[in-house]
Amino acid sequence: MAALNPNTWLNFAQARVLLLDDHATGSNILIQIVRAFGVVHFDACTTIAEAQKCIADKEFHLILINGNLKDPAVYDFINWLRRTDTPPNCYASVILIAGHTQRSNVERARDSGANVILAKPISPTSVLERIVWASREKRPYVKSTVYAGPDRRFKEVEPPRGRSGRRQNDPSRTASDADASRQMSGQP
Amino acid sequence: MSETVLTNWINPLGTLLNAPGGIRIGDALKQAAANLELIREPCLEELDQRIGQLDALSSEHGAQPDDAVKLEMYQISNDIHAVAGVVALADLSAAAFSLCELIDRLRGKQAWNKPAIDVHIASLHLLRSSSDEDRTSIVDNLYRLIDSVAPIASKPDVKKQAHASSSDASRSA
Repeated sequence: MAALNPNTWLNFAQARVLLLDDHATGSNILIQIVRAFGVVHFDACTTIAEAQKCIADKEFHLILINGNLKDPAVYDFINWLRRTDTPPNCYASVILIAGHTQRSNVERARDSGANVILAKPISPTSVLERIVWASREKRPYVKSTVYAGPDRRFKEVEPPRGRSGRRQNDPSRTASDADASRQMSGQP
Repeated sequence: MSETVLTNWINPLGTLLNAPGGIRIGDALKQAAANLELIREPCLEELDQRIGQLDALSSEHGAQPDDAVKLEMYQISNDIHAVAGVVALADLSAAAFSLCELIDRLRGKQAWNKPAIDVHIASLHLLRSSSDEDRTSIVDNLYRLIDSVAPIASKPDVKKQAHASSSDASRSA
């Protein structure tokens, strides 16, 4: 991740931020950090129900979630958000802030639909780096029966050799196309 | 084959952050550090309180606590890991992470090891109260301890995870 340039200006004045953290001190730490960045419009929720109500009532551009909520439904909450089908909130940038993650939840965290997972302990620099990264996010959003969230593929690569892509915008290349392409470029 | 829908979305966050005005990143980070300094004392008080809670839970519930107590101890350790790192107590944070890992492994095995848990809690006290100890070796020995009492087949690099600074530990989902 590129280092932040201290002379770059960022304007959070119009950004609407939702914080979801049931740990009072953790929430306070996040609030102190985002306030320092110039965030003025934010809602700090301590329960998933509270956050769902906020999302139903207001628009948010950035959502910061403690991945270690006591409520184990935290990953379901992100999935719910992605499937609400109500822009802009369903496409809001979600940063999942995770401490130690139980083995049984590692895959759920990965597949939750968050844009970024940020490891605790956090620092102002790490939070800002991830926000800037999320703000530059250009990946399309995917919705399928098993996953809803930003496309997990970071590179535009063709489907495996000999197989057609599963998505509408996948390059539809056959094995012979790929072979021809490699021969033309001199690759083995 | 399941139907997959792709939607291209112009992210408004980038447009907002790039609007004229705002704050220089260097100044924002300085302000954030100043804000966190203001809550340092309450954070330290919370750490002491949380370590005390671990002490109480371990001594009250004996050698075979029920799963709710194990989960509570895990969550308290995770809170210590998060807060200690913010107030620059990296070794305390790493030791708390080690306790999380130990509890998670033991819960996975339907087992408990009170002596190993208590060694972790004693180490949290030591790391919180003293600056003279060889702090790194305390944490290293905790990692060895959990590998000894609760080994797992595919062993993650606990030390690397615990020390992963936030700047290099994120991964995109």
